[in-house]
Amino acid sequence: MTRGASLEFDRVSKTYGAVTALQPTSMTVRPGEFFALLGPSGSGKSTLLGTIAGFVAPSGGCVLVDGADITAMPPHRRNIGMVFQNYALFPYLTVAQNIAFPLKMRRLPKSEIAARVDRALEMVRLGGFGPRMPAQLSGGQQQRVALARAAVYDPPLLLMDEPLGALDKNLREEMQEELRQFHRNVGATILYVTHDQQEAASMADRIAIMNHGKAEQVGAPHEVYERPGNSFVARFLGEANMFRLRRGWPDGPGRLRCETEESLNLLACGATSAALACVRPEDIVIGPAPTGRENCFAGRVTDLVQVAGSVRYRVAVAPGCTLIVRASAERRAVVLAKDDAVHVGWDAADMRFLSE
Amino acid sequence: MTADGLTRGLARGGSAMLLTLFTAFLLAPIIVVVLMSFTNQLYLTFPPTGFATRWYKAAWNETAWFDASWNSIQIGAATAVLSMILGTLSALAVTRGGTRWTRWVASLVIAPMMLPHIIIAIGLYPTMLDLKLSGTYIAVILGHTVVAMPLVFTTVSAALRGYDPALEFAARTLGADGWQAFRHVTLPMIGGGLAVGGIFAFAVSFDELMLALFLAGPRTETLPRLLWEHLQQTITPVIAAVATLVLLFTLVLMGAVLQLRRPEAEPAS
Repeated sequence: MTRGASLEFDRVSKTYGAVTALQPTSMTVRPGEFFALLGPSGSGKSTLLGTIAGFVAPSGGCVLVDGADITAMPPHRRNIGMVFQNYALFPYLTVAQNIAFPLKMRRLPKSEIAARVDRALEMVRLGGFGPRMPAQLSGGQQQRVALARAAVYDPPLLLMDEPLGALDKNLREEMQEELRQFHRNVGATILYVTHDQQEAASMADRIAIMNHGKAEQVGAPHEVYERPGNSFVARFLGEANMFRLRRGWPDGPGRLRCETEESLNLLACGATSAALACVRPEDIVIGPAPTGRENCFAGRVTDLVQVAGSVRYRVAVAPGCTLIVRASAERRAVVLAKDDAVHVGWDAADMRFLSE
Repeated sequence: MTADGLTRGLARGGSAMLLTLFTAFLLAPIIVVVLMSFTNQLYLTFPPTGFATRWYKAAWNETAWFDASWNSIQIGAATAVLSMILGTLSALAVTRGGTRWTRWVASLVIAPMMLPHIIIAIGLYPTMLDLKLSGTYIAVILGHTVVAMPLVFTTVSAALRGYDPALEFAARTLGADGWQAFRHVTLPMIGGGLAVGGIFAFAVSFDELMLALFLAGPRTETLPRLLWEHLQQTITPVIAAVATLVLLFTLVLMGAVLQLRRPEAEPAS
């Protein structure tokens, strides 16, 4: 098992002419961590990945692996493994030759290459696939070969650039499980780039949410989900009911009463108000009778969708204000229908203040 | 007749016309030359009045044709190699390099393909004289490379655009330096296109006359140049015989290109 490397970005930035792809970014990835860079396309996550792999020369700052500055090191000497979105398997080489490639570049003896290739194939459950050509394999199998090829030389750091992006949904979920298992087995630090928040949340130890070339927030998935720092993070990671606030004033110990743009009165926990407040759809309770929560509103169901295990309602509570409410299947004792008059409510503790 | 039927009728008529034109302008001269080469007369005649292989024997007995063929093959081979190197380098620069100048560079590289050879010849002739290279192999090879390189550039550029550049990135992360990535990834990926371009370059050099007229000398007499000289002095059917052999050789090259262009047999999945 490999010891994972630590990774540190020290004010790394990248500009292309007048275009800023990456604002000065500093963050640290701990040894052995599964760290996800999550963001929409063009958010700078692939640029950041490129600075580690060596394909992107930063305009400023430096990248450190285990404390050593690798910013100016050519890619082939960095000893970093990388898995690409479209696998990037060499089509003219067999599966075994593909996996042997990095070992050949390192001039290992033939017998050791053969042994390590076999071991790598076993690790990704492709024993016996060595003589096949990549084109003869399914997408999932090709990705496993790419994984074996990137890990066969035991790099302490593995980069993955949307490795499951080309697979269909079921296979993607299966591969997520497999990647987690893989991470436990190899022990290397993994830096995982994705735009799929569910994927990042289910696999990573920590997530960095990227937007407009900078990291908006870094933290464990549940932390970032429960305490989003700004409206982008709140919206990108799951759904959020967002309220724009006009003013706020203290109302009891540790409580703030706020007035929204729609003149709704909300009670939240906190000392100072911010520009925005949000509440997650699953924190709102819904029913035909008043809910008895600290924030309580009457409304009307305008739309409902059944999703696996829960129902997603749209409830109009005021002109111009429609809330999204997710009720889990067990709470659905009372079946609500479109146009039903309902009551929704949530506690002050479930409200989060956000910056823009 | 329906509109659809009319279109189909027109398409069929168009195809027939194209075939007729193709036959008339491309095939007919070739057939005439081949038929003339087997004449039993002392001069070029058409239609043939008899069948004889005497002019092939006559060509065989004249060493000048062999010398010229050997010159043409050497010059063609050197041109092909030089074009493959320069064409691949410029294709790499244009498809994988920066973005600002690439369109201009691409146009500049391709320009000699469209420029009349006479203009290139007029430009190169005094230059080669100045460099004291006139009449040498180097002069002819350089001249031919100017017009042959665009073909390699074109086929290699197409090959480079045909695959994901991530393959080379992958090789780099896996421990290959720049040269190893080129040798182990780029070269196998562009091999087919490079070979086809090389054959094209050879073929262009092999039947190029204009530049050879200006740049070659007595010691570097090429086959097209010798044919041209014969055509001006003695119009014997030897010319037709040699031309037919050149045609045969060209067909072999074309066959090689077709073989290389054939898509790889897809392995059953």
